[in-house]
Amino acid sequence: MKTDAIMDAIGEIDFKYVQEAEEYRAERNPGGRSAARSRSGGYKKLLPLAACLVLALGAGAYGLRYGAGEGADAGGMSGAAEESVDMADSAPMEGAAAESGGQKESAEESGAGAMDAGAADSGAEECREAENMMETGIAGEQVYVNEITEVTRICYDIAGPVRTEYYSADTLEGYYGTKLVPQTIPEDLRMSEELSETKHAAAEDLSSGEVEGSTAPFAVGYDAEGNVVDDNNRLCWQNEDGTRSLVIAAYTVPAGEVLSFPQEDLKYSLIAGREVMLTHFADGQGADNYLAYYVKNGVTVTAESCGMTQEELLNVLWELLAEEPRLYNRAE
Amino acid sequence: MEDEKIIDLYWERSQQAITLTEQKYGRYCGRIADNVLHNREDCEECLNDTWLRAWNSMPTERPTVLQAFLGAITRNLSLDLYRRKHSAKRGGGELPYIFDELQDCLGTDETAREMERMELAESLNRFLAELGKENRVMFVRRYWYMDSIAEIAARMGCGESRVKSRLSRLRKGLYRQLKSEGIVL
Repeated sequence: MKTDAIMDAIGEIDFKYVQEAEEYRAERNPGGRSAARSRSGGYKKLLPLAACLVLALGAGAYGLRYGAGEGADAGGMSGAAEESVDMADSAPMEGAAAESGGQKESAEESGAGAMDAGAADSGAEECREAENMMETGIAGEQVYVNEITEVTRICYDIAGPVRTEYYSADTLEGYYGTKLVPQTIPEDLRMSEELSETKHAAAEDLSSGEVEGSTAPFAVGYDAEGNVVDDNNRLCWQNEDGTRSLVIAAYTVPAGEVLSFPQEDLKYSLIAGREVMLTHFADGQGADNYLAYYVKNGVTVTAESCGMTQEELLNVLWELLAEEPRLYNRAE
Repeated sequence: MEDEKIIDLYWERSQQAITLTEQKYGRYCGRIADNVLHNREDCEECLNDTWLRAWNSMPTERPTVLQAFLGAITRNLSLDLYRRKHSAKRGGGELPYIFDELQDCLGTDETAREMERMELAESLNRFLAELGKENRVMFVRRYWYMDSIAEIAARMGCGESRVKSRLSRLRKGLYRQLKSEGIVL
């Protein structure tokens, strides 16, 4: 039997590959995510997150803080709010950060980002808010960093695609209709090796006609009716020793994973006129991890950084949202 | 105990080598056997045969990676036992799906020359050498270790759909390489 032949031949591969596969653990999976983690719990955990997002917007907590300088666009803000509500209704955090790293901490919960409505000491709450609300000096920007202790990822099955189309990084932006490859990436970060696999891209299988040569590391899956079932893609950059990294993930269709935050009252930042959820946590090695997400043109985008400074991440986020460099907008 | 010292015990024909091997790699080899056989008795039979085969092979063998060497023995024994027990039909577990997936790597040209197993293995090594680390690990975990898609997704820290689509691309890539080398199974 031919499959026996190839199965036997696979058994003869170089032992260094066998060993490598045994020792490998996802570099950006320090939380020890398990794919078998409760699937039935996925939707239950979605609801509290969706509800709290609506509450955070409806309570006006963000509105009270929004005192941005020139360029503040109330219309844009309300548009963004509507977008966020839609996002909440459609389970906002599904899948986008599925391939991003995340850090799960067992440290005691930081109170810096918590806005417990039942807290008796409103003065203390305001102090905590003030600590995390940044005036960045950039017009149209108000940054609130939510301190969190962990991000839990819950995955669930989605239908496998019947047909797949492949895209390069450049053409992927055309598919989503939004910028995903910023120019303001720190110079020491390079796109990761997994995005440079040109030899084994299925060039002959491509039906999109949008792939240049054989560079097609990204995929969009369709069902038999031509509906998108999986367009969850991620772009990864990291430095040479892997201590600094950035993962930008995007999707229009929920694709199998849900992010769950431990705190319920998370506040939005305003970056380039759009609402962005920005969170921070320190990993086990003491490195700063930021996780940001927003919805633009119907695309849910997450940006997860490790080892990058907040300023570096804000530069990237601004460029993705405004499609122009952030520092051009520095307030006088 | 370090692998080098365990191998020395084999060469010295000390039966302590087998005890230490079982202690250190019993679980590892057991997982490989279970991925194929899904039967406790069959797995135990495979493991016992693994230690016997290791004993018989050292000396003259002196493997550079003892863990993978033992794993390969277990894998081969498990597959042989699986084939004996399911000579006509495929049984449960992951193996039937893996066999189906590997059809992607096979051609239909009956006139193409048959490949010796070692030559095919060399081609596979070239294929794996060209892959990025993540893809290579994914391929080996699926088709050498015969992990389930869920297990691979957990190890790689990604969703199962990504694992499935990536493996599909890898199989097609392997097929193209075999075809370009004039090999069609």
